[in-house]
Amino acid sequence: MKQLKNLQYIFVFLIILLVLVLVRSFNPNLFKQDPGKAVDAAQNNSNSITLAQLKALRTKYLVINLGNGDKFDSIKMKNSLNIPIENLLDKANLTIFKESKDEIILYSSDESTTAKAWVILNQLGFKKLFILAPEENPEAFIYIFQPDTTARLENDSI
Amino acid sequence: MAFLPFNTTRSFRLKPDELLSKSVSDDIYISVDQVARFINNEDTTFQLIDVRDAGQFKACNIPGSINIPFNDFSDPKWEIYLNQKGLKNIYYGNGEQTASYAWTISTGLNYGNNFIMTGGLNEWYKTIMLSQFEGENITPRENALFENRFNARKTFTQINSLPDSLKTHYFNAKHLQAAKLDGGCE
Repeated sequence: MKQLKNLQYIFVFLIILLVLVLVRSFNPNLFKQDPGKAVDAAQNNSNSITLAQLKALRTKYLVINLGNGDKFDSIKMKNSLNIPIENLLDKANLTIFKESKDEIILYSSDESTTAKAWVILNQLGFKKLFILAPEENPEAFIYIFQPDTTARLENDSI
Repeated sequence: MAFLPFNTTRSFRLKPDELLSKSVSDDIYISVDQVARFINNEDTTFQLIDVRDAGQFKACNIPGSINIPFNDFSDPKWEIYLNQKGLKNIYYGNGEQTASYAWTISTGLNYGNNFIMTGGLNEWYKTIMLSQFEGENITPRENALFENRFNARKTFTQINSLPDSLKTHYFNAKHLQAAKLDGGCE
């Protein structure tokens, strides 16, 4: 009788575990990817595509313009779809991402918007997702710092 | 937990809708003038995080910042710096793109209060290092603004003009301070 009771506990535990696995596996409202992969892709620029590369693409692609309102982008691209970042995760828009078999290209005049949208979608598990790279590298330092060799610390805080 | 189909500790903890609503808020951006004020006031509630590579960081950086290169960002060793209760993290790169990646990842992982310095180091240089007052009359507000910029510029130049050995000493002291705040040791 005692053994049967122990077996019941194990059985209940296994059912709870199974429910947890199912909830996490099928819940669309959860992130499931490793952020390290997003870091790697962003670092080696494998998540971005230039306009020239885009034009040379032989496969089909879907361009998403993330701009809206006062931040609306002046760039106009043929066949692009306007999904303001605020509406990125609306059910209808997620369906578009899910059903698209083509490469998805995100673009915005604001590189911060595109970067944030790309990470969110990447971590939701969307593949074939790229950022349209601006013509000039947004991460290039355009100034040169000239050290002042006569400078001394006024307060010795070190 | 090992039975779960993925590593739960490494995926984002925030729900996608929560992360998106934080992402679209203008409150996550901090201007270079605000950062200059934090430096001048030696505000210890803010932590500046430079996400550029070590070489660029060594060449010049905003005084008081720590370097967490983005290519190494997912390493769990940085969690003690990124996830400190009561500290606000301000990310910056040369532009806004890398800082935005870092912001989204750290916010997704539910690490503290995160912000992005608007325009990155290029904007800092343009506004703080190179701005000049032009005109005959200056209002008290403009005067305060330029004094703030001038003082931050002076600190930036002083710290970044130090010999490498002193800079290393300074940054090691910063790292040690962060470790101590977290209750650890180095």
